[in-house]
Amino acid sequence: MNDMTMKVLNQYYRQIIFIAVLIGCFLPAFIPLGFPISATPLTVKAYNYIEELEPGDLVLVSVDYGPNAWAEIGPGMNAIVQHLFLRKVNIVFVSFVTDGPPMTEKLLAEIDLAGAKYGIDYVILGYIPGDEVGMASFAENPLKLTVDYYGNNIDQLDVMKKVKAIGDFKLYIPAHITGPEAWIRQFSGKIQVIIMTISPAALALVQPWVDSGQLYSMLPGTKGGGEYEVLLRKPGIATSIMDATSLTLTLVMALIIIGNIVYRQETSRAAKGGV
Amino acid sequence: MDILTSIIIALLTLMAWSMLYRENVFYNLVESLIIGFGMGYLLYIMITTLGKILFTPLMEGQWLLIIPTIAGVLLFTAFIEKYRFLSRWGVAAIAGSGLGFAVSRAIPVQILGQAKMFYLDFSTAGIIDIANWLIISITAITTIVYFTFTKEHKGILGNMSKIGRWSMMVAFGATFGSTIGGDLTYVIERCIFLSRPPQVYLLIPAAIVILYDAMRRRKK
Repeated sequence: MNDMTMKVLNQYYRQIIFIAVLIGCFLPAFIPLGFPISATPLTVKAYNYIEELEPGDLVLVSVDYGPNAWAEIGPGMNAIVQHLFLRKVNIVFVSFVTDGPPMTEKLLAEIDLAGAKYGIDYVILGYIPGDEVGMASFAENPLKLTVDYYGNNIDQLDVMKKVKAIGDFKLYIPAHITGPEAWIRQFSGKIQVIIMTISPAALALVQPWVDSGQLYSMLPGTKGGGEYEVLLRKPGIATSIMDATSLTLTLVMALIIIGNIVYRQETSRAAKGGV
Repeated sequence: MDILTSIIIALLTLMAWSMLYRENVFYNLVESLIIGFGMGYLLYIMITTLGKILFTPLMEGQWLLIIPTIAGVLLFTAFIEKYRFLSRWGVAAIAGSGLGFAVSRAIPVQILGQAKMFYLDFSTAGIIDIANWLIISITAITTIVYFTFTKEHKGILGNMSKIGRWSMMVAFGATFGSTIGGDLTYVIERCIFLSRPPQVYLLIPAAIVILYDAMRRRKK
């Protein structure tokens, strides 16, 4: 690199990084690049299990994230819940965080319900307080709640008539951004199959649970969502986000390499007695 | 989503992002809005939940619920100096039940369940499985050694503790890398939203306002 380039890189490195990241984030939104996404074995495993569910099987979904985490968890949840509705299973939505019920409504508004009707095919039970104590209470007896999120008596809802105990659920899908321990402690062994939708940051924390067989599979963030959309053949927001993520991370890697080259050149120049 | 809602959301997003340029009144406004709406919603959900899980069952004759109700009300005695000690009963009930539920399931699920990972059937395992088993066993044991303080970390114990530290650093590095990748999606999701009409047209006046302010400040 010549002196002029070095000077520009040294003086305006912050602006260069900002512009590169801005281009990486915005460009695929205007011009889709269509980077290939291949599904990892864990996503395929989750997809295949749901594909084998029979219409009318009971599935429990806990939406345990707020709007602040939607970008990470939401696209993956949209894809997997969309698949559940296409399989015509009966879904019980519950939340162990306060923001959960409106996020459930947002989720349902963004997907195709495939003709499913509230109360007959799916139900929103709403927020259950107490964090882990609430989870333990629900896992012990899911019928402790007397009314759903909208105040309807759960005895009058067809979906809830099928639920007698927690073991009646064929699948549990918790979605959250925090550590997975509380969900696993209270539901592992009580529901046979758990597929967790998590933030990519929790990937290393959740992998041991999958390896030990206590979790059936997981969907890590938007990447997992993008893979699931590919399997569903319904490209959506997760695929678009993955396009931009791939480009931005490539640019960041290029910046790291350039930064190291500049650093090497500067140190060798200093060693030779230059400024 | 109708046009007005999209524009309001886009405006709030741009107001929040204006902090990247510098501290300003638009950012302060959106910050106050988030806190206000957040607290308001929390209060609403708490009251409706109390109605659903406490008041309604109480009215229906589930009188045992009076015990947790009293424990909950005792928490408010923290505001009266003379009776502050009573709030500890409420805190004790919350902490005790939480700990009890967590610990009772921790042994079968977290300890015994995770210990299953150490079992490997060598007659059917492939090379990758054996390599994974070795890595899991070495990193798990050495990390436990790192947190064992009953003996000074010298000799074999010192070397094992060093391997444990490196294992944790690899795990933290992987977590940090995935966190950065995950955090990027927040910005990208907003960029995708802002790139769609009608909200995309707001980007031009936003850029003009920032440029005008930058030039004005330079002149000063």
